[in-house]
Order: sequence, then C-alpha cells, then structure tokens
Amino acid sequence: MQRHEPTPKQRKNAVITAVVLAALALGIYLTLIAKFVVYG
Amino acid sequence: MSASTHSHDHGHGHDHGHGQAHEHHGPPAGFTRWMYTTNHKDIGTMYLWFSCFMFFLGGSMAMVIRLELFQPGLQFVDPQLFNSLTTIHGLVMIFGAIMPAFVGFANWLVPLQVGAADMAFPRMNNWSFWLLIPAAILLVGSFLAPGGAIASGWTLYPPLSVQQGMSMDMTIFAIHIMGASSIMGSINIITTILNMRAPGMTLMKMPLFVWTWLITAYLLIAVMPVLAGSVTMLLTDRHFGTSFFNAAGGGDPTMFLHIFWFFGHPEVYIMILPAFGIVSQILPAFARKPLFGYASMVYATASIAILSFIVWGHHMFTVGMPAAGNLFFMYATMLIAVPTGVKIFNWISTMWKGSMTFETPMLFAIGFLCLFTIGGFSGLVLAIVPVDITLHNTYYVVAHFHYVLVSGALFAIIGGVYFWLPKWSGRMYNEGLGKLHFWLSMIGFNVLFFPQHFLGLAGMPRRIPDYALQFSEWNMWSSIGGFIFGLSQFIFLFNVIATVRGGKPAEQKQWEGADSLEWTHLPTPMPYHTFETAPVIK
Repeated sequence: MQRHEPTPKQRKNAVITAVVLAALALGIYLTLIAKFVVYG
Repeated sequence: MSASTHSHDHGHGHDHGHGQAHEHHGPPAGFTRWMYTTNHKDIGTMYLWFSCFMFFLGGSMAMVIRLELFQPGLQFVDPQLFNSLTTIHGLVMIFGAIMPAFVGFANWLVPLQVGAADMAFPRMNNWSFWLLIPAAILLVGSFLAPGGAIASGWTLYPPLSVQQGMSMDMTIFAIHIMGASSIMGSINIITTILNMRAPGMTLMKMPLFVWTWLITAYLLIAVMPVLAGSVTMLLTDRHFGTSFFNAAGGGDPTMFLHIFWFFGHPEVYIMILPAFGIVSQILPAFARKPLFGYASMVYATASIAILSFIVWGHHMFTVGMPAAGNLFFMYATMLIAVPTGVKIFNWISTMWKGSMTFETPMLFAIGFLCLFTIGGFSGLVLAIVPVDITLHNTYYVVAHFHYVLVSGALFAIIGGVYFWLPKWSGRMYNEGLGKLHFWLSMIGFNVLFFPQHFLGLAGMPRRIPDYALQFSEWNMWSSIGGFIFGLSQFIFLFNVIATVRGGKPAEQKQWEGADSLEWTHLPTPMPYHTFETAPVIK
C-alpha cells in the first residue's frame, strides 16, 4: 500500500477529527467568555 | 512490540505517478527550505532550535537574577527590572523553551513511531511553528516598551496586570498567538495519532512517548482556550471598560486566579507528561528490558491528566476559600501521588535486574527519576493546607517547581536529545562531553535549588531583589550552583553542534535495547521522507 499520501478515508477522518477538536477549543473559549459576560 | 516492514525508505524515491516527484527528493536548499517546509523532521528541528535559543535567553535572565541575589543589597538591577526578569524568565522558559521542545520531539517522533509518512496537516504544522516567532518577539521585545517588561509574575495576577503599561498588551497578544500555535499543534498531533497509524499499530502497541503526547494534546486543547479567555478578559478590562477582574467596577480579582489556575495546573502536566514519555523510552533501552507495566503506565498518565483538572485550588490556599474547598483541593492533590507513584514504581521495576549501561541519556533519565521524585515530594508537602499557608510565596515553592520543571522536564528533554540525536543527525555525540555535561548539571542544579528549600523554610519570600542578612549564605551557594548549571549548558550546545557538523557516523540502531519503529525500521541517517510505504506491525 502506497502511503506517501494519506488514503482518502484517512484524509476524511483526519478532517473530521480536526474540525471536532477545533470546535471543542473554540467552544471552551466562547463558553468561558459568555459565562462572565452574561453572569458577571 | 514486533514489527516488519516492506517500506522503501530512501532519500531519492520514485515518482509514483502522482505528479509530485519533487516531494520524493531531498530538501530544497537555503532559507526557503525552512520557511516553507511541511516536512515533520524539518519542523521538529526548527522547534528544537527555537526552544534551545529561548532556553539560553531565559537562562541568561536567570543568571542575572542569581547574580543580583549573590549578596544582599541592590547591586546590578533595580527592583522593577528584577521583577520583569523573573516574570519574563518564567514565561520564556514555559512557553518558549519547555513546551516548544516537547512539540519538537512530537514532530520528529510521533509520525516515525506510529509509522506515518508525516503529520496529518503538514501546512498547519508549518504555521504552528512560525507563529511562535512573532509571539517570542512580542514577549521579549516588551522589555523595550515604555516602563519595561511586565513585572506581575508569569501568572499575570490583577490588579497589577490591569494597571501596567503597554508591555502587558504585548504579553497578552503573545500569549494569544502562542495559544493558537499550541492548539493547532495539538490538533495535528491528535489527528495524526488517531488517523495516520500504520496497519497493525493499535493504540496499546504505541510507544509510551506517543501515548503521553496524545494525552498532553487533549490537555492543551482543553486548557489553552481557558488561558486565552482569561487574558482576553484582562485585555477588555484594560482597554474596553469592562470590570471582570477590577474590584473598583464590581469585578473580582480572585476570579482571575481561579480561571488562571484552571489552566495553570494542567499546564504543569503539559510540561511533564511528555517528559514521562521520553524517560519511558530511554530507561528500557538502557536496561535492555521492556517497560514494566506498560498498560498501567498508560492508565496512570490518563489519571494524572484527569486529576489535573480538579486541583487548581492548591495554588491559592491563601486567598480565603472555604475550609471545605481547601480540604477538597488538598486531598485531590494528594491523590495525584498515586498514579505518579505507579510510574516511579514501574520505572524502577524496569531497571530492576536489567543489563544496565550508563550512557548519557540513561544518566539524565536516572537523574530525572531521582530529582523529579524530590520535586514530587515537596509538592506533597505544599499540598497540606496549613503548611502551604506558611510556605506560600517563599523560596520553598521556587525550589519545588524547579525540581519538577528543570530536573523533571528539562533533564528529560536533554536526555531525549542525547538519545535521539544519533538517529536524527546520523552522527554520534561525544560521550565524554555528554557525561561531563550531566555531572556538572547534576551538581550545579542541586547546589542551585536544594538550598532554596532551606531559604523558603526560613521564610525568604520569592520575587524580591534584596533579602535579610540571615539568608546570605544559602543565597551565595544557590548562585554558585546557578553559574555552574548555566555554564555547563554550553557544553551541551557545543556537543550538539559538533555532532551535527562532524560527529562519528552512528549505527542504525545505536542503542541495543531501543525497540520503537525509528530504530528498528529506519536507516541512519534517516532519509528526508520516511514510511512512504507503511510498515506492517505484527
């Protein structure tokens, strides 16, 4: 199996993983800010 | 772990018909190689050299601090500059030296140890690194801002951090940029480990270094946004009329401490878990035995990471939390000793009855084991609420966290460099110089930091440029140790440069007991592109 380039399945899974993780990071940041903006 | 491969690992591969023949050749020459590289080895090398530079920069600040504290009285720097030096020393060492060094190791080793051709997102990998440069310029350049660099301590506590000059804004932006870099790097590492492993490389076959980085990357993604949120609110307090932490406007400075340490304590583990991974690779190689209790090491690492989220209050026992809160944080902190004890036990058991030899990486790993344990024990002492209330803000705390972060994280980094340098560069370092470096570091480090336990117990506060006469003698010894430790690092620098430029050729498997893929499956020196065909792990 040639692996110089990731397989399409690997590429798709990698993008999904990255999007989920990025959303997690952004969500934590925005939740923290929103909590203090709304409730002080 | 046994594995076999049918890969073609050479520097001048073929064009497989993908129209990307250029990627199969060696690297381009000159600056553009480093500017535009998407190769994990190049990016790992840049991270390591960047952290080396920042280590010497932060170290030079530490030398000025120890020079000032050599004698009581004010000799060389005024109190404002002294506090700026302690602050920037901490920030540079944490965000500029220790963390990028581990990311450098991850870049070099994670793809190799899981049998991947590269990181999952090579371009993002390049961006993660180059973001560090403007961040470092902002951070260190803040010395040139009106009023000088920030002097609030690396923790940026308000109200001081709300009141300081534009250097605080520069630091806040630097932290935001470094946080973005860390989050992108972490996403890349997790994605690579979860999606790019070679066939047969199950999670529980991965080397422990990969495991520790997987867990560390999750920690980073969870807590870097918290740090970013706290400094964003600090910024709006400073410039946009909010009062999150400003008591005069109804805010609460103590809330900053809670938010900061919710980031800050996991950050400690971000700086030590990859060190555990490195030591877990070195000790079995030189004991010529498999790592004792591999599965328990994985679970202990995960346990430490989870517990790190519920212990932040032990950094702020003196702020006046309810007794129940103090007790919770005290017991939760002590609980961390259990998985940490599992690790220490397993490392010792790995060495037990092993055919040990004591080359430089092994010396640093054993040095790590002995001294990190001392740092762990002094942490347990500080976990006890009434003791901590007495020792808070004293040199005992300074001694404790330097035993954890210097003889812990830094010793592991140095040991790791000696361990993998033959594989990375294809050349063998000078063993005599390596051992000289170790022993001078070991002696210098202990002379530097052990007396600080005594100073703290006697009541010497941290972050002061002057002190009472009764602290003179141990401060003098501490400074002498500091100069020995600091100067001995130039031996390391010389040894690494001499090795890269003209060391003796290293063997394919330089260390007899090393068993991860980079040693068993790849030639020395390694080609620019590796695992173009995936190894099959049995």
